Amino acid sequence: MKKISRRQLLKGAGVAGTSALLAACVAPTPQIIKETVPVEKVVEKTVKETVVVEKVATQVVERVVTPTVAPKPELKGKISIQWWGDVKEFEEAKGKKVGMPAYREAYLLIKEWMAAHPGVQVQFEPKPQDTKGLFQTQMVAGTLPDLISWSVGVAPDVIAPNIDLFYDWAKELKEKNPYGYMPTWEEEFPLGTKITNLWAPWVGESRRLFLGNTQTGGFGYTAHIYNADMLKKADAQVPPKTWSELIAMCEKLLKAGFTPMFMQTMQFQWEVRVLCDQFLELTFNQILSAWNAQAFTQEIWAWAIKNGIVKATDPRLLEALRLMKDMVKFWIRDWTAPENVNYFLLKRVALQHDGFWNIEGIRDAPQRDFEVGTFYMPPVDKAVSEYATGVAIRRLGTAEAGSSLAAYVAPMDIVKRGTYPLVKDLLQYVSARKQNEKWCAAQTPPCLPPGKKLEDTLKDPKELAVHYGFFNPEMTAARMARDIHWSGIMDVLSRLFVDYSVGKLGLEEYGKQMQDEWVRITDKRITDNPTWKVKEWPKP
Amino acid sequence: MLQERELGRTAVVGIKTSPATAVRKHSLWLRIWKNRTLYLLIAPVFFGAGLFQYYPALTALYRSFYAWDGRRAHFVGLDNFEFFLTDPRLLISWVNVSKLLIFHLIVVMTLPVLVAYLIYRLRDEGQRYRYRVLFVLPIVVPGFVNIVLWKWFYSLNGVINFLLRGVGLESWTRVWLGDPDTALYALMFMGFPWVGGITMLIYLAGFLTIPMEVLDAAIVDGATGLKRFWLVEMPFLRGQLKLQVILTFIGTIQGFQAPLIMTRGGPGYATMVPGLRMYDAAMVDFKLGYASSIGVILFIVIFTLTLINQRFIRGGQEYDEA
Repeated sequence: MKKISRRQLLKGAGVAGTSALLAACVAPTPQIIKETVPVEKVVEKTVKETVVVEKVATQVVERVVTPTVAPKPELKGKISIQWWGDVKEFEEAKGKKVGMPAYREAYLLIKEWMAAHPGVQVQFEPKPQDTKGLFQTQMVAGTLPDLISWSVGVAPDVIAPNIDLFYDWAKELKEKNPYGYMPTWEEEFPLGTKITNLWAPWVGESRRLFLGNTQTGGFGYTAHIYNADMLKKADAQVPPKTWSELIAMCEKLLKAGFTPMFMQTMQFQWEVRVLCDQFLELTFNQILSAWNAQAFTQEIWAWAIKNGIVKATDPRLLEALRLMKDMVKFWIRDWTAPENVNYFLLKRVALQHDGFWNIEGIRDAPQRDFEVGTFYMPPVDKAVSEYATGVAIRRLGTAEAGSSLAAYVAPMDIVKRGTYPLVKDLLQYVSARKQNEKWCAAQTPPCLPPGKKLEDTLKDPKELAVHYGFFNPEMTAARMARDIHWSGIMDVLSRLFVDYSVGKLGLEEYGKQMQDEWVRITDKRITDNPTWKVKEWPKP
Repeated sequence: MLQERELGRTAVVGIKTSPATAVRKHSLWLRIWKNRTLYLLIAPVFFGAGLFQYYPALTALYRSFYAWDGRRAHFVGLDNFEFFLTDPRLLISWVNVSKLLIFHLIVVMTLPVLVAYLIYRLRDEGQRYRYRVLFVLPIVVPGFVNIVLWKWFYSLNGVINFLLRGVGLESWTRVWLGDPDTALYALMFMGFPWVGGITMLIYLAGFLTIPMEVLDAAIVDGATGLKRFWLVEMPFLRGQLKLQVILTFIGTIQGFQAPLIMTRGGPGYATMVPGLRMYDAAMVDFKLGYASSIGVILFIVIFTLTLINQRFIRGGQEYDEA
């Protein structure tokens, strides 16, 4: 064997090292995987990396693989995102789970994307308390950030009249998402086209303005969280399955010396809306059929009020208000509670209604020294009202109801600003199925695969029965709440309710005053909206 | 002072009676040119005032006849005014603001005057200084913070209920801002003991300008105690009182910060005021044309009340001349 000199050895080592370095720097070499599996046919597939994501049934002989996220040095620039709250909270958490899981996990996904795109700078702009006001002002001034994290629920009020100002992702959704493994970006969303259908009445038949993470199963606004210790002392049973049982529970609590509920009167509309949704089911269906729609817009409401299809003097609507008045004796009634006071955590009340997104915060509050549980607002039964229909409670709201909770909307200006490629890439990353599953796994409760029941996912009976006792089945368009949801007319309803609840106004007078005001507001809206084609409105 | 006023009058008369407009114009431009440096120095102030104060106000006047959402506008004539004026609950908001106005007028003309007078009568200059600072110091706390603090005071677990429970008056406790019978009075009570630092300073300055000769003469004539206060010193304060009345008119009728932060005009319509209606129309419903029409109505009301005030309440100087 020929001896080599030290110089030759060093030279050779240098060449080998450089080669290794260059090899490491280039894109991963595609590997051919040949594998035989005990099934009907054998499939060979060329992939870039062997990360198994999903294996579909044994009969389907296909390994679906996805590339890992590679840095994209060609993407450079700066984008701004308007964000719920201050991201510092997440930054300073140091591994601890802080804040609402929907936003915390969405933020972590963005951070992942940022790490993979070192040339991109992301600026987070916290939303103020008056999010709607800021949004409207920026929209009109043309200064909206590149992405706005917001709820789909704002679409009817703010976005629908200004739809031309927002980017429509419909075309891109038909293409492949490079971070995904489905044939099109649209299919990456767990509920696929269902979401499109839910949004259609607000944002136009074919438009897709909101994209983000998708929760397959919503809990709605009207969850009730309860102090299990107080209920135990009062010998009250949970969950109440009917309105009568809810009243019986409150009576027991009152008798045991506890104040059953806290009610922020200004926002008690949520409960009224759930009640109206039950009582006025047929009317709502009639209205939506006439418009061939699935959800209400202000124009549809205006049509229904002008044509007398929905009246504030409707006995069924007044019945909902009467039931609410009967509950007043169980309330601590506060019109606008100070934000830093939580009567439930202070143990001043036994129950608090809330959205599911706040339950984790209450459950994990350091000052909580009592057991908690939850239930969903029960349906009205014949024992308390002759108008009870027995229909299952629909899920109230939009964003949490099977569509996007952490949703983003982008202004049309991103094209002009040149930030479109960055915004698109970011949205594709965070909404890819793999990323969404990661986001979902951290939610309270975790998302469900479409069609699966909560019981199949959550095995812990205590978690299931107590903490998620109010769970409803998966959201579909058919189960979406079709409630009264027009801030103008609901404002009148809740303000006049105060006078009714303290006996300054009778029920009939309440209905009459409300009806007059609804008509007045509707007439004004018609005058203010020349784009509403009133002459072409459907015949009632 | 009198001489200066007379000189001013002469100057005005001189301009009015100048023989030819062309000459007047020429002389005006000439004067501007001569003092161009000074005019350049003050130009930014005029420009700023025009752009940020007069232009928006004039725009609001013009837009009040439009349905305007900030982007699109179409002419609706008097529809916005009609919608506001036919509001069945409009009367409630004017009644509320009238109650607040009467209360604020009473307060602004009594307690700060009293405190200013007590400080004014202190013989020791050092003590006078210390008390003045004591009353003026709280103005460093932003008004917003004050409102939020008071909102917390009024809450179920706030200071007021805590004190009531402490003295065994549990049955008196309530959510003060959540009760339609107490909410408006709670708004009035906010800011107790209602001695605004700046208001008190203005009154104190008024007292300090009373000539010693007048006081000496009054004492010689036997005016002491209450007589001296009512008949000698208070008349000198009319200018300050008039200013405070005008500022209170404007502040109360336009104001909606406290109802906005504390009650959103509720419970029901218990604390609703016209200014808050304007804010809601602009910032909640984004009906900027409608909000402009409310602003125009508020402007007319304030302007009328100010004129009445100017006409019927004489200032200290006018009293002096009379």
